[in-house]
Amino acid sequence: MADSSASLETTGNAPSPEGGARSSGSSGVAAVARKVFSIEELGTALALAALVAFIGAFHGDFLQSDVLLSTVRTAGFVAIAAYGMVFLLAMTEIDLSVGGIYAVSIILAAKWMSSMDPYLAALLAIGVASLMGAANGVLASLFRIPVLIVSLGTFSMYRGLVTVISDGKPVENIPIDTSYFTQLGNDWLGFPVVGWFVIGIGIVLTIVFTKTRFGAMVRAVGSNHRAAEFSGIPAGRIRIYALMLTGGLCGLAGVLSLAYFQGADPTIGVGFELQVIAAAIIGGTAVTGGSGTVPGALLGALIVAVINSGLIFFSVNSNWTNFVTGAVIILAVGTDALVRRRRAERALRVSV
Amino acid sequence: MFVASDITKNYGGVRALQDVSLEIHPGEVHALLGANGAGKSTLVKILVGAEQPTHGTLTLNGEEVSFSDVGEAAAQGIAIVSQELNLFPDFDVLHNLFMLHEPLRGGTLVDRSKMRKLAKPVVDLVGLHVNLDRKLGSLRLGEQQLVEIARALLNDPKILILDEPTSALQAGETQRLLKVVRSLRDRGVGIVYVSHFLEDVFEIADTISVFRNGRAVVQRRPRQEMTISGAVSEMLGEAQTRKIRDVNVSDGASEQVNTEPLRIEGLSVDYALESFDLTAKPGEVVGLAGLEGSGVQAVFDVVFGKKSADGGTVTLPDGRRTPTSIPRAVRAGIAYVPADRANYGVMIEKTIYENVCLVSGGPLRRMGLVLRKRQMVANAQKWGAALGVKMTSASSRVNELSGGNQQKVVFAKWLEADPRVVLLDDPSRGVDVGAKVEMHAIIAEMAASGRIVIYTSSDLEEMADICDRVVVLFQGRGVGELAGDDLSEHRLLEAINTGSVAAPAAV
Repeated sequence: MADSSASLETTGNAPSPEGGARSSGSSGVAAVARKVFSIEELGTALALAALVAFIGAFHGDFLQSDVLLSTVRTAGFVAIAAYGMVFLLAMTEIDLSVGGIYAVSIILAAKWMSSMDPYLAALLAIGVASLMGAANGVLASLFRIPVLIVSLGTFSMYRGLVTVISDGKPVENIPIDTSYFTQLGNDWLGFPVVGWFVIGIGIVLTIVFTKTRFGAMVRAVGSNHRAAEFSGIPAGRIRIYALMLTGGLCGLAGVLSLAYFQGADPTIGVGFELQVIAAAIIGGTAVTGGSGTVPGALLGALIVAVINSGLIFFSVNSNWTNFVTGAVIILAVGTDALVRRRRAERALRVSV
Repeated sequence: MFVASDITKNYGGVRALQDVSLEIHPGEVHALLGANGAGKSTLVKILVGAEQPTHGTLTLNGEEVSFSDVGEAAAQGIAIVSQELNLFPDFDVLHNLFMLHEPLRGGTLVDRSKMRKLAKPVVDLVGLHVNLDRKLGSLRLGEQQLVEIARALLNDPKILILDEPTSALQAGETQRLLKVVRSLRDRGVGIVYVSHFLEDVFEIADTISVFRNGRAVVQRRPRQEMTISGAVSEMLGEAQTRKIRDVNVSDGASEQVNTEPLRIEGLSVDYALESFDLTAKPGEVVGLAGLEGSGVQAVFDVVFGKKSADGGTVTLPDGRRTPTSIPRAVRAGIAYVPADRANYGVMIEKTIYENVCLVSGGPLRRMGLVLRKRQMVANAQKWGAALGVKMTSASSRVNELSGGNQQKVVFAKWLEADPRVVLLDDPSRGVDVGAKVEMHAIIAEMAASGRIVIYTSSDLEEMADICDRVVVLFQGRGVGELAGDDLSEHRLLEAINTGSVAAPAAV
């Protein structure tokens, strides 16, 4: 479909009324169909459905609602943080410290909850988490080094903070009978509360990413850094905002997981960053920058979670989890790169 | 009226512009001409706020102004369409047109239907017939150029600066653009038109200024008072006939590297080169001359295995076909001295001997598994002496050397690999005059030993000096060849700009 329309519009200098008409507005069945089939997330969604069906075909138990819901819950914590990672990848940046921020916010919130209102403690923890994210951006701008390198350092620092704050022991005296834990850690209308957060925030961030000037600037920096600067986009500031957003989302994921697990162990969130980055990338956000998909990150997080629980259903030793997640990343990124290259070659050929 | 007065710009110790003044009148197309490095681009950057002058002032409608960035100039109605496209390949065409100026709905959401409405007249004006929802990256370069132009027009500029706007356009599109420029002029926009395409310039310009070595040698002279050939003379200035090609080409020396020629037949690369033929005999220094986008780079890329050909063949002197990768090209005996020396020519932080001995097709192959440092140093010293590299020792780092000596290291590296074909891409860029002369001698010696030398340079005078003949490329085609008495800087400059090697009519 794309091919035929493209060839119509590139008839050199001959005036082409069709091209003009098409560009001025799209309506009708064809336009709707084009919209549906051009949804980038479709492939990811199909892959997820195939995975669920595959596991379900061998182990019917997997399709039970409580199993599926617990998979959604696991995926939810990752997805919230992965939304932020989409913004960063679109700027060709990666934040490795997300696992550290996630853990710090859990430990801090748990500590504070023993002496203050749990909701207030959670909000404060989210605030600290955003500041930790912003710190990555400030350091990166200050020393003019990539966020990847900065966060390699802060990753270790933040994990170190977790040990220091918790003194290496699980946090005690968590008020688990307050409404914070009985409500937020539970279901609402038969669906995990974290799941509602994932959906709501997902919608908001999709709009921010695709329809606001901030989102456009984020993508513009990743698309052509030099042109972005030439156009007057304050790339450094935008990057700090994006990192702050990611930090805040990690904090939110942290306090929600605290509500569910009702405990704060200093080893919590080890390997979280791998899952978050994997979710964003598997979801279809390219590391080459310039574009990304927030809903894709959710699908990616679900794929990671489904694979992890699938391994349990197939009685594969859980030691293989990381190995498999890594393999899936390579598979996803590899196919994506192949498809992109094929598409680019075709577009080039068509356009002459 | 926009006036730049007595502008001087220094980059470190280098003076790019000296006391240049320029007037841009509303309703006038003012063309800027000059060879590479004459200062046009620097002046343009100052006009749009991308650079700040060292001395001098800008006056807009009688008031002195200074711009600290492009945005500030744009706010005053000064727009630029630059040669390097400042566009975003991952965004669709529509959004590219409005980047940072998107109309918003409710103060937050980008209003695409309003964008579409606003874009329509401008898009029609420039003749951009593509679906505005297509990703910019999927457009042809010429179409992208039109997007850039449309984007500049959307801000309703009072002053429009076009820096090589037609370099990526096809002939029909160029005519269309010239028409747009005329209609803008008639609406009272002041236009600065910078181009290498002299025929376009003489078709569109009302007034012409010519730059040479950072000075304006012709100031806003009416076009009717100038000729193409006269403009070229002004661009070149004095000293255009001097020749230094008297390096002895010792014929039939010891052993000739090649006996067969390098044959390029019907070579085509999509969007860059169309059925290009060239036969270069052993011992010949063949020049390829052409503007950016003329296809010269494509020839180099294919012969060195960087790009694959979409048609035609390259037959190497040993009878082998087009190399399909750079390692294969190197093993087949092709050497490449790149223009971007710091990035592609040398490993600037490494020692001289490491640089000289690291070509994988050559010396490394003969050294077995373990590198022998002593032998590498000895080799590097040998070449250093042969080429006259001024170095304290072969173990010095390359970044301690001057530009000219760095380039000699690049030559040494390739000579060590004993190449059959040597590709030289602007080898004397950033090299001082003394080193240049020595380099010419090296090139002549390489040819004398039966190597085939293919050469291109932005310095046309040098090209006329050291090449036996020069093939001229224009918009992807070979358009002819200059040799003997016809081979002069003047004729070359005219040929690459007009696409014709015919002798100019007697003036």
